[in-house]
Amino acid sequence: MTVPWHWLAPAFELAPKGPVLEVGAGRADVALAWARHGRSVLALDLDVSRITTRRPGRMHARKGDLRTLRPRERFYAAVHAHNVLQFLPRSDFEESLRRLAAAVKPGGLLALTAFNSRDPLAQAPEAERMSFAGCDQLLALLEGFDLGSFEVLFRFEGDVLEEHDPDGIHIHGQAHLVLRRHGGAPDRAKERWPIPGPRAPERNLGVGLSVRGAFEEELFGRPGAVDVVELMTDSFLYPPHHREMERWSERFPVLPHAVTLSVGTPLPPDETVLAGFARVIGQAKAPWHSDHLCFSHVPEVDTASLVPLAFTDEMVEVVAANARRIRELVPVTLLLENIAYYFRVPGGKMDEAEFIRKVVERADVGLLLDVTNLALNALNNGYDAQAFIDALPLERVWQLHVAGGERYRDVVLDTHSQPVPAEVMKLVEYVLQRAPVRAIILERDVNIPPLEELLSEVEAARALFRRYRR
Amino acid sequence: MSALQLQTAIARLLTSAAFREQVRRDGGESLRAYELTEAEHRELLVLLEGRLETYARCVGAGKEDFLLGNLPALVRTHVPEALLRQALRRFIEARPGVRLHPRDAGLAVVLRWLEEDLPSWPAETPAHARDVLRFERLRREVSAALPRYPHPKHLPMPERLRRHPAWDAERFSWDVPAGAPGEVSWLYKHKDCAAEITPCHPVLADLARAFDQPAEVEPVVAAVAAKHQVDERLGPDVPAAVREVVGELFREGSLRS
Repeated sequence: MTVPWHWLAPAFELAPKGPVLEVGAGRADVALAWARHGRSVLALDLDVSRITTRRPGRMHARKGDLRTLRPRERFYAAVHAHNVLQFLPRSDFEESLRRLAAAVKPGGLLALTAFNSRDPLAQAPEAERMSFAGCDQLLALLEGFDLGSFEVLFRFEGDVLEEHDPDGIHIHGQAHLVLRRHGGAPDRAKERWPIPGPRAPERNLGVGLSVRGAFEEELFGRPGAVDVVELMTDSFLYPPHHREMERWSERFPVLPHAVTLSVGTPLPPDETVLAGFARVIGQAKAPWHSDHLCFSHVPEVDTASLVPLAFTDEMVEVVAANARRIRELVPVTLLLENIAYYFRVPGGKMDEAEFIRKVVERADVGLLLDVTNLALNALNNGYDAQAFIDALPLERVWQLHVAGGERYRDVVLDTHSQPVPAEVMKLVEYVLQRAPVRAIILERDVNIPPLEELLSEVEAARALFRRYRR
Repeated sequence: MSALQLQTAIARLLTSAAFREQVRRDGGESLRAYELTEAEHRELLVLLEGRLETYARCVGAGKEDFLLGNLPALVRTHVPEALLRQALRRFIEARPGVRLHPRDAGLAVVLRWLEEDLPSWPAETPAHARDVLRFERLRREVSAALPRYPHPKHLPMPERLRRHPAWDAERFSWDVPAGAPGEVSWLYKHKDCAAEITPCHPVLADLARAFDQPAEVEPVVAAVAAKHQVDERLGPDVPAAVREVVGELFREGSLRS
């Protein structure tokens, strides 16, 4: 099974009543899940020996493949074909796809995962005997079948990293679609693919450190030294570091934090990167993940830093659209963090607090409040920090960041190079009294002292946290 | 698209000192390349004389530090930092769109660019700089390679390694003799249950060359072991050491500098 489960699970709720078909079922994970949901299921595969014999009575397994399949037309509430279409010879591809589509009853679902032309196998000698198709090609073929229209409920196309025997680590170019056939009950036809909103975390995580290379091995060897660690999601997307998040999560509660999603870039996020985020964040078993309310790159330039957005309604919509796509593909609550900024982007129509509130509510995300950034912005831009806090959607503030900055000419910069100043800790206390904060993370990027020194800072924050979070 | 145009102009101003200078010189004409409103154009020019310059210096220094900090240790220890910083500044100007993740094997892009930039480096550049850069680029590419090959679980390494498309190794021009001044050495030892590798020994260069094309493991091991038969650093069983190095090269998580 190579499709992330959360890219399929909503189908259980959206499909009309009726039996389900899975072709090229393999171990029949999908079919088993449907059977456990009380559906009658037929799982078809050339090798049914891999399907567990301890299956519900309503699940049937039969030997066969797509080419010999003669499914009953307009019969199934859902038809699944995942990572099997590529094994069809090109001469059989179109007809097989038509048969699958025809088997879906009106209002029913068709879930397909195909290898696209970016898959490494497309360059292999055996590619001649295989079929590769992207989402657009699949949709164009379906449109030409004269079977009525199919509505796209969920779509993904990108590279997906996988690791399993016998291939080890490898990448697939993948096109994944969940479609709804036109017709069926009118009220059900209006149901959309669900995108979970932010879930308020139930338990306190405590106080911890954002992990940096200077002390990562030492900290890893001391489970319990901090309540929670924050790890940079972006660092663990690719081999050989692609299992690091999992390694850490076995020792500490982990909060994945990123710097490269660039939610403020007015373009759709890279789906391959989001698939990587989904995989890595899944390893962390975290209650939320986070990135910054900013842009970091545009197609021509990577700033490798966090650049402020124009405080406009247009940017609110940009962030909301990008956050929606992130939430679709990464089914863990997303928190956005306020950044330190040293100039206002032209065109702003509102103040920062209003912008943050609008974004958080429109994008339906949580807020990671960087108290140091807030204090520096207040100082650099001449506003009252507590009044700013009061204007924020505090009910969605579940995590805080603290660090120490440095003065440079006429501004104080968020350098993460000094101990957390006392005035920042006072603001932390102010927030703890008003917001349901579940975790505080101390950040230190440069001028990093011995771990013991950082831990004593953590301890001080921990004492404050416990005063308000018993 | 206007928001994207504005962001692109800001990103260029933040990351390119040359562009900022050009905008100042031509009174903002260079910003006309972006579809900005008159108000945006005017405000950017005002910002340029204010805090944007301060922040731009931070962004530039941050990107430079980020790149430098993520260069392989071998490069950082064997190529003078001042030379690397100069070259990285040129890289940032020349390739502003290259996106890097921390620890990303995509750093090979930077290493390749630095290697190609070498002709413009000053005369005091050490002779081994080219090989250090080239070797580390290859190593990154190898570590990022995602070969597809069947191999039984009990074997420590695949029987056959498939060439990764990113590999286009040329011959190394300069192998490091053991004990030579300015030696590039690879300390090969075990720590706990894992091999600890501090780059680099010429064996690795030989392996990089050999696996630049589809190759059977054992013949390569035999050839490389024969070449380095007298190298005491590889221990008494040279073929076993070389075989282990091959296993390390193609095993995940083994190639951290």
